[in-house]
Amino acid sequence: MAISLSKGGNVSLSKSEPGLKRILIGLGWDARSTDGADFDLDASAFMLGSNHKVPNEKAFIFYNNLKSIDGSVEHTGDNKTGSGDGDDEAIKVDLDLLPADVQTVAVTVTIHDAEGRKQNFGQVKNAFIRIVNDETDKEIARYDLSEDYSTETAMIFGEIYRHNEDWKFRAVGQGYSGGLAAMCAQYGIDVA
Amino acid sequence: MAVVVLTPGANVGIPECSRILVAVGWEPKSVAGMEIDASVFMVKADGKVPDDGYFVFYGAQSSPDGSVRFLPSPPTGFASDVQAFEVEPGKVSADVESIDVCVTLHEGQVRGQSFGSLTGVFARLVDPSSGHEVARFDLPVAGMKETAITLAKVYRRNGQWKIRAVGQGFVGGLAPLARQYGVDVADDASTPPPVQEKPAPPPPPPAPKPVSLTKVTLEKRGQSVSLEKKAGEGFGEIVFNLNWNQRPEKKGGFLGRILGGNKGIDLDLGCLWELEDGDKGVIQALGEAWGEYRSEPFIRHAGDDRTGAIAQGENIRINGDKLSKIKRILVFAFIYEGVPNWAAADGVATVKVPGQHDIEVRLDNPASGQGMCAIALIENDKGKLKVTKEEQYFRGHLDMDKAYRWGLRWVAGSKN
Repeated sequence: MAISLSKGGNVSLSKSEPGLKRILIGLGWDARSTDGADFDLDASAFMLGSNHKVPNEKAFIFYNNLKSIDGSVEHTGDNKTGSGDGDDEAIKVDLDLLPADVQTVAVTVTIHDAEGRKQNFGQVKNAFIRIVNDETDKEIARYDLSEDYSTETAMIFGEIYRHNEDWKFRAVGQGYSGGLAAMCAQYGIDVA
Repeated sequence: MAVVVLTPGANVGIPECSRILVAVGWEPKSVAGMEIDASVFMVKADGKVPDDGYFVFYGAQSSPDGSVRFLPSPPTGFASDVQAFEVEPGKVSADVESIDVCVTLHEGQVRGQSFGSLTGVFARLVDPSSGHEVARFDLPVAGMKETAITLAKVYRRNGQWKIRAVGQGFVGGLAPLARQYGVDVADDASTPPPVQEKPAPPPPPPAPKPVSLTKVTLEKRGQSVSLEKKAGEGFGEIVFNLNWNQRPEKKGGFLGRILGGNKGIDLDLGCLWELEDGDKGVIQALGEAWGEYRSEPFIRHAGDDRTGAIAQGENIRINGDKLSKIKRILVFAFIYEGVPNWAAADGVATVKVPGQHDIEVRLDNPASGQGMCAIALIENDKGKLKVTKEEQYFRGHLDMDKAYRWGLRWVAGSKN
C-alpha cells in the first residue's frame, strides 16, 4: 500500500525506506483504443544544483538523453503509445551514485505535442506516475493522472532531495502549462 | 448551483441523488439524409459489457438491471435536447463500473458524413427533480472525422459517481465502437471496412508472371506493396490512372441533391514529386504544370478529363527507368468544382507497371467537406518501387503539403 501523499507533502525516504539505495519512477498509461493521434507521455528527470537549476544539459535525463554521465539516473527508453502493461516508461535513480553537487532530482511528466494534438491527461486511460523502492518494489507515492490531473498536459510529479544526511521525497503534484519546453526553461535549459 | 462546463477529458463528481438524466443533442437538430442516434454501453472494469443487454438504445430501451432507460423524447423541457437516458445509480448492477453515453451517425462513413459536418454536439447532466443542469459538455466538433463517439461517461470512483467528458471514437462508425465495448454489431452491408490505425501487414509481393489479370488491391490505409525490377531492366512506363463515376441524378435522391442536380464532379489528378537531388514540385492541370517524361522530373500528366466521361479517366505517366532519380511521389486528386463528396465520386486509382499485377487503390473511406485526397505514395525504396495507400483527406494543397512535409510554397490559382 502506497503512502498517500497530499500535494506538497513530503516523506523521509531514509526513515520510511531504511537503507534505500535505488528508486524507480514509473509512468504508465493505456494505449489509445479509439481513432486519432496516439497519446505519447514522457517522464523526465532534472538533476538540480543548490540554485534549483541544472549545471548543464547533460543533467536533463529524457527520451533523447537516457543516462547521466555518472550513471546515477537512467531512463529506460521512450514509449510513444502506451502499449504494454505496468510502467511504460521508467527512470531509475541510484542515490549512492548521485554526485554531491546534485541537491535535488525533479521528476516531471508531459504529453508530447499536447497542444497540437489537443490532448490532456483526462483523455488518456489509466495514466499514472509513481515512485517505488526499486529494491523492495514498495510503492512510496502515486498520482492518478487521468482522474486527478485530467485537464493538465504536464506536471511536476515530485522532487527527491537531500536534507542534511537524509533523502526526502516531496510530492509536488503541480500542473504546468507549456509542456517539456517550459519545464526546461524553469530548470535552466535553453530549448532550440 | 453553478453549472460545471466540462472540456474533453475533464471530470466532476455527481451530487448524490436517486435519479439523474443525461440528455444529448446536436445542431442542426435535423439534416436531410443524416440519421443520428444516442446509445449507452454499460461496462465492467475491463471496459466490456456484461452481456448484450447492457447496450441500451432505441431498439432496447432498458438495461437488464432496470437502472438505465432510453428516453426518445427527453422530459427536460429544454428544446435543444434530442434524446436522453434516465439513470438510477442505486440500481446499477454491482459489476458495472461505467455508463458510456455514445452518439453515432448511421452509415455516416458511406454517406460522407462525420461529426465535423455538424455545428455542435452536447451532453447535459440534469437533475430530474429540479430540471437544473448540473454539468455540460460541448464536443469540439470542428474537423472531426469520427462517425461514432463516446461523448461522456458516468462512472464509479471510490464509492461516488462521477461524469467525464470523453469525445473520442471511430471513423468507421457503430461497428468498431460497439466492438470496443464487446458488443458484436453486424457491419452494414454497404459499410466499408473500419479504418485501422495500425497498418495491416502488407501482402507478399506478387510473383512475376508472363500474363496476369490479377489485381493487387490495397485495402487499408498504410498498406503497401514493393515491386522489384527484373535484372538489367528498369520498370518501364508506370501509369497512374484515376477513374471515377459520374452518376446520373437520382430523382429526389439524397445523392442527387448533394451533387447539385446533374452537374458532374470535376476531379483533377496531380502529384507532388521530390527527386533524390532535392528538387521538388507539383504536377497538375491547374497552372498547366504537366511535367516532363524524358527529362526531370520524369513524370508527365497525360491531360485533363473535366467530367469523368472519358472511360479511362486521368493518367499520370512515370518514367520507371529513371526511378533511381526519384525519391517520392504523392499522387492526389482534387475536387476542383462541385461539392466535395467523395462517396459520390466512387474513385478508383490503378497503378500499372509493365509485367506486374495492377495495383488498385479504392477511395472507399470518403470524407466530406474536404476537397483534397492524397491517394497513394510512390517511393523509391532502395531501388524497389513501393506503393502505399494513403487516402487521407485535406482541405487543400497547403494542408496536404504540411502533413507530408513537402515544403512547397502555395498560392491560389484557377483553371480556365
